[in-house]
Amino acid sequence: MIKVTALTLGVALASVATAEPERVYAADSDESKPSARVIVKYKDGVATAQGMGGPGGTKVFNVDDVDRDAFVEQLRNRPEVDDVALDVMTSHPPMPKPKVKVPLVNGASYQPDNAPGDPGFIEQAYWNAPTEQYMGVQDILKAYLDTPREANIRIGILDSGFYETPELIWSEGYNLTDIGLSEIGPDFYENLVAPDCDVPHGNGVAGIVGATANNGLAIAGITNAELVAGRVLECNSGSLFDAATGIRWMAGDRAIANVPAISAPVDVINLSLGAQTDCPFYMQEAIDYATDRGILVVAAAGNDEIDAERYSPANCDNVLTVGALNRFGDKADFSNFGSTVDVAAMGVQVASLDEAGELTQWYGTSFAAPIVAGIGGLIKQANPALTAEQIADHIVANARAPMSEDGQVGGIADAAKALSAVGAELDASRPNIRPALNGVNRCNEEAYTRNEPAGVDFRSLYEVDASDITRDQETEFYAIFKTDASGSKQLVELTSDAVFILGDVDLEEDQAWFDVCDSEGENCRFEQNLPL
Amino acid sequence: MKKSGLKKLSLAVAVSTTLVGCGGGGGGSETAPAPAPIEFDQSYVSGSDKGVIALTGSFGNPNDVTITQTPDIGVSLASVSGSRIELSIPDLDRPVTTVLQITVDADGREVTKQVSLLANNSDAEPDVEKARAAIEQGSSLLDLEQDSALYTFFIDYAYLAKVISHSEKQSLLAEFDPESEATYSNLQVGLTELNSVLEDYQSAEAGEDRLRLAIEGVASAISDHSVYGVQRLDAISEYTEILVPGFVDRDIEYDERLGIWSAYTKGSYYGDVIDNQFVARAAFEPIEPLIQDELSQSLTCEVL
Repeated sequence: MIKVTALTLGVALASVATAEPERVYAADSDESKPSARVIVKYKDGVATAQGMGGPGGTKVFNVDDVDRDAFVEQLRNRPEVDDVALDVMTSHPPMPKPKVKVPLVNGASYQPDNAPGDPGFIEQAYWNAPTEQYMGVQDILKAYLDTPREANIRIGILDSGFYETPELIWSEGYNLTDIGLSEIGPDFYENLVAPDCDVPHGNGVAGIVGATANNGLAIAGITNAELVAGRVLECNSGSLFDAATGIRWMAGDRAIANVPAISAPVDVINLSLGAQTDCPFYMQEAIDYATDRGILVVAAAGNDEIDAERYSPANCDNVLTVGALNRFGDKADFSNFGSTVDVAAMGVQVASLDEAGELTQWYGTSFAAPIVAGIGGLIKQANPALTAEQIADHIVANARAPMSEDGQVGGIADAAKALSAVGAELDASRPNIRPALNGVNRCNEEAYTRNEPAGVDFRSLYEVDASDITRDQETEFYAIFKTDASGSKQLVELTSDAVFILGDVDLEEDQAWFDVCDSEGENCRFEQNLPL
Repeated sequence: MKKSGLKKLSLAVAVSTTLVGCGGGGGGSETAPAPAPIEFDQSYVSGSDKGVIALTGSFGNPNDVTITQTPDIGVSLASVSGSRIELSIPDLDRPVTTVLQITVDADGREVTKQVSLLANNSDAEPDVEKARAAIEQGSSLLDLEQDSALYTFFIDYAYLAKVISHSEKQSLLAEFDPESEATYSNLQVGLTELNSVLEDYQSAEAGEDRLRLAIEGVASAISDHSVYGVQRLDAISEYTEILVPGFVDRDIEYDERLGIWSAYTKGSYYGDVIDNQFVARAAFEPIEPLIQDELSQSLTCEVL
């Protein structure tokens, strides 16, 4: 069922500017009647003035519901049409249980060493290491503590129900839906565009990923990522096409009508929404657009207790689909399941935020997904060079075995194991580094030290050997950066030689970073984030 | 020189036949004390030719000492006393081991003792040392290790000082390739020959003349081969002259003071040897730690 929209088309009857004989389309929607939105993709080279331009080269038609099927059928028979799909009403996965506000207790004495000091942290069970009893947790804390989190990453939340709170610092956001009372625009806080809404779903999702840690409030987010809000639902429901548009916007598509380009693409997108439908082409193309740019797309499996193959975007290709467990590791009753589900995380009593930024327990795959999105963010921070597929592979491959074979929601996501695997991979990406005068390679040390050029201390030099790290001979160079007193990273060496001498860096004192960058020391593979 | 062969030597020794009685004379019924046993302290001895070696022991009052030798190298009895027999070793052209059968006739008893004698050819000992050093330094000389160490140092120094890149360094290092020179195989052949001759000499199958000839051959081959090392150092003068004035075409020669073959310690161009250590002239002090001054010293380390 397509929700009635306020969209209208300005042309009653239209023709397509092709060599084909002029054909007649179905009438535009009558505002007084229920209407459907049809998304059309024309073949390459076909120009048409019909429909409204949509993202990804699509055309969007609003037609009366009664004309919908005939309209779609007609379009499917047009030779210039590549694909046609209906927009689909979507929503947050139906909440299996209402959220529960949890009073803060002083749990400081129970908190593990070095854990974030937020008062609600003790409730964030998914951060815990697994025990024999509690197998459903994600061991976030170890990964959080072990991950170098200097790299700036951005995580996009496509949702609704965002409310302003000091726990959530949004770097930017946009309202991408004009369903209901909404108008596409910069106001993405729910209370500004849908004052009657009381579903702070977006806060619940975002808090898990990126609530400000160690600020004395509520909880700690898994990452310190920059958060980007994309409001694609009206309160609790909306359009799958708007969600696809949101994916494109977050991935940096600058050709979305009436929407300014995002300042920088995000690294991870969380989609805690969906509808029971096949994966429409516009959603798949939007996801592919994002993953082609290295962006991990994480989707909730849905809460209908059905095969997730029937739930989109969970059923789209190139999506990391997340099912829900309780903290014991058992599949949550409500969770969608099946081979479409890649991995599972806690989706029962998931501690996060409400509209006021206060500690709240949430239920649903909506809240399992951001746990996995957060793990993806940590992995991206640890190794910015990884592709979306590699990040997803790390998460899935390092998941713990499900509690039972009939769980059908995949393995249990384990952040510590995933990050450990990433770390091991990174070790192989680091060059060997040794003091230049190490007594083995330059055994005649006195000959060097008695002949040091003015201002040079050979003993302070290092020799870097990056021979095992391949590079594009034409465009890539080995680079060393050093964090200066102001905290910014300065390029201290840039060379095409796999083995080189490194001066001006004291590895005992300085923070130094290795990378493979362009000829300007920019566009680096690891985003200047691989510590030496 | 002396011919080997079995020769019986004898020496009539004027012997005092004084008998020493216990408790005075008379009383013929008393038993005479048993004569002291004839003993030799040594079974193996060595000495230089044209010299004397002594065998010690207790020989009673020898009436006669007879020596036979296999092979006969002309060892002769020089003197005999009750506790010492001295033997003269003739002039030899090679070290020879001979087995002496020494028969002592004393107090009516005759005792024969076998002693193995190594007679060295003292004139050729410096040649032997020279040959041994050449053989021991053989691979180092073939690889021109001394020049290679200097060459590597100067290139590596330029790399450390960021004058050249690692790939340039590797390329320059690859250019030092003495094995590609014809002189390399000539020297290799010479060293093999020298090793063979030295073994023959030490087993008395070759004389000192042949040994010296082989050494001369190797010295010539070393000299020829050494030209390459200097050429390579000259080729990188832009890097060597940062530190030292340059290298001259000097032969690698045997330095008796240090017992090594070297173009740097021999003579005084680069420095001098003081207390068995090379001390560079001021102009060459930068390379002093890189100059080999003892046989066991290795200058090679793996420079990546």
